[in-house]
Amino acid sequence: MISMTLLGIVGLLVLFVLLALRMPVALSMLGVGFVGTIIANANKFIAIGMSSEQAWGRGWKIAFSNIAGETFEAASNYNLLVIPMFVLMGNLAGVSGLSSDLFNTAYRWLGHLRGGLASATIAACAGFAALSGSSLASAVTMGRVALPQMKKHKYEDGLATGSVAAGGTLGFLIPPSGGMIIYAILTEQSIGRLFMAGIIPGILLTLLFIGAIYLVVARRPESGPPGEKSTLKERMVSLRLALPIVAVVIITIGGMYTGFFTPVEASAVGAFLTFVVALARRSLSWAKMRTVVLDTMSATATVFLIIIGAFVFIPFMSLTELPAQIVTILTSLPVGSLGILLIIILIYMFLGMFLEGIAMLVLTIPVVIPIAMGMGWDLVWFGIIVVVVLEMGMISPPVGINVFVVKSIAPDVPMGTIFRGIWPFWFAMAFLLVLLVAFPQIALFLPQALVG
Amino acid sequence: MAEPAATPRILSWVDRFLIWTSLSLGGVTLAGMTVLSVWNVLIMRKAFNNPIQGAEDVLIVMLVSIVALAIPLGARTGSHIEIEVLESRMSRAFAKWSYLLTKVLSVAVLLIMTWRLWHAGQGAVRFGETTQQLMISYEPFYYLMAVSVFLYAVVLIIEIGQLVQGKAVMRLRTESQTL
Repeated sequence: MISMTLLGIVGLLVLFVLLALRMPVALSMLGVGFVGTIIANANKFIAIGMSSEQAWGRGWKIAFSNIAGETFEAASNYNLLVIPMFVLMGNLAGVSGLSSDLFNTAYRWLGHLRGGLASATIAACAGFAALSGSSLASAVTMGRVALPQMKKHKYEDGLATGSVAAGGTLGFLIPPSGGMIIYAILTEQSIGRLFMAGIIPGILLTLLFIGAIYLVVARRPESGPPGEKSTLKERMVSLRLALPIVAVVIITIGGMYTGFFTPVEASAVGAFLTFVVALARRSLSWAKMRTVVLDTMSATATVFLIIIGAFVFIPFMSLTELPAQIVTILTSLPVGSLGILLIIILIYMFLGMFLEGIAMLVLTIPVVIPIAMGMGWDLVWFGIIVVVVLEMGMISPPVGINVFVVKSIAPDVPMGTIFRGIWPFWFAMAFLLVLLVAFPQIALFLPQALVG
Repeated sequence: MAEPAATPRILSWVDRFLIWTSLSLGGVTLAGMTVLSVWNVLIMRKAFNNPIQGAEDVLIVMLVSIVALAIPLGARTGSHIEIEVLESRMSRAFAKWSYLLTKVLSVAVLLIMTWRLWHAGQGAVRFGETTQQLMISYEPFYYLMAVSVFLYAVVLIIEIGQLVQGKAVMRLRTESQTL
């Protein structure tokens, strides 16, 4: 008989080996969760005196039941309807040129300032993030619009690509956010509360990014030369073009915050309104609709399979009691609550250098959430902390996924230059983390004020 | 790690089938989910205070259908996340054979899932597994999920064949993925 803690450690080690050998994250979790459930349950029954044969039989039976039950449970979870709907909304916004309107508006108002084009990119990314839950989609869409403009105005490559890569990460923090939905489902928190909690940190991070750009151009004015100044008329026209997008965001997200819609309803209404706006702009074609459907299905596959994997893996981890052991060890360390939080953040930063955001989220939740609960932390606040650290991972070398996306749009810019351009934004995120730890109300004020 | 190759005929057939089902059935289901939700919320509930009975049930089975249609498509578009950080540090032979091993393990996991989902479908009626209001049986949707997972396994088996022959696995690209 193997001890449960050892089984948990072996399970984690096997999982990491499979991941390192490039087995898909979801299938690795499914495989380890399935085999682990058999062994853990057999162990449990042997420990209470059942015969070995019977115990193993029970173990198999439970694991068989779990793998089918949890798969169907995830696929038929009504709350997860938000995933295909918000993805559809973001994809419709992406293909229909709404991103260009957002960028043009931000450019008309900010472009004449030093570093203004980069700031406009960040502002447009924040606007697009309110339509899309994916940081990749935000980086790709805005990169295609903003990078040629910044090149034309002779922006330094580092600042230009850095602002797109970092701006894209806002898609993960500003609701609707794919990461927050997964976190909410796996930790049994309210999606609506998490979305509300992401608003103020999202706006704050947008401002911090713009502040970072200001500091860069204050030090090296040539890195972000000012563009031509727009007339008031041009500004107002651009504002009018962006109005439908603002309306969609206000109706969708605003409706959710005021309790008019549930998150599921808001996601469907958002997708529908974005479709209507795109149709009214005559920017949809059959080819684009084809892309939208295929991309929406592909992204849905990514998220659902990984949630299915987590649904099978997490109960196995709980059975092993390894998370509880880690909580005991951590709480006995003489570093206090803040020290433990710092350790978790540093581990996340380290993992973020190698793992993709959503994969890291589902892999760490079984261990990290019991710690957060053991420490008495608010799980909504902790969710925002986790999302911000995951965002940092998206732009951290050597595998920051947003950096690769930007590289694919700007192939002539060396990776080293892009990563150098990232640092001001990375520090802005780190500063946001400090603020969130010092003032948790930044995240908790809205959900507490609106929902209680 | 391997010679680039044209998509083999069998994979082309799979791709055509997956694209067709995704665009037709997936497209219709996505549109149906959106329209039903919006109609139910904005018109029936908010305007007439008379929500459609069982709308949530229909949305749930539509969601299962979308997930089932999406999983094999995701297998071909490379949407199921893999961690590729260490690949560049592996020898060519180790990279190839370890990748093959993980694909075989993945097929094993997927075949077990297929079997158990099918089995659960057979017991769905007996255990009264239905939606809450309209009592729609989950049986066909368990089968749909089983077929979906089986198709993912089929894709992987074809890819294993490609890798064994020393050919690279060609992914299905949607237009937006071609950056």
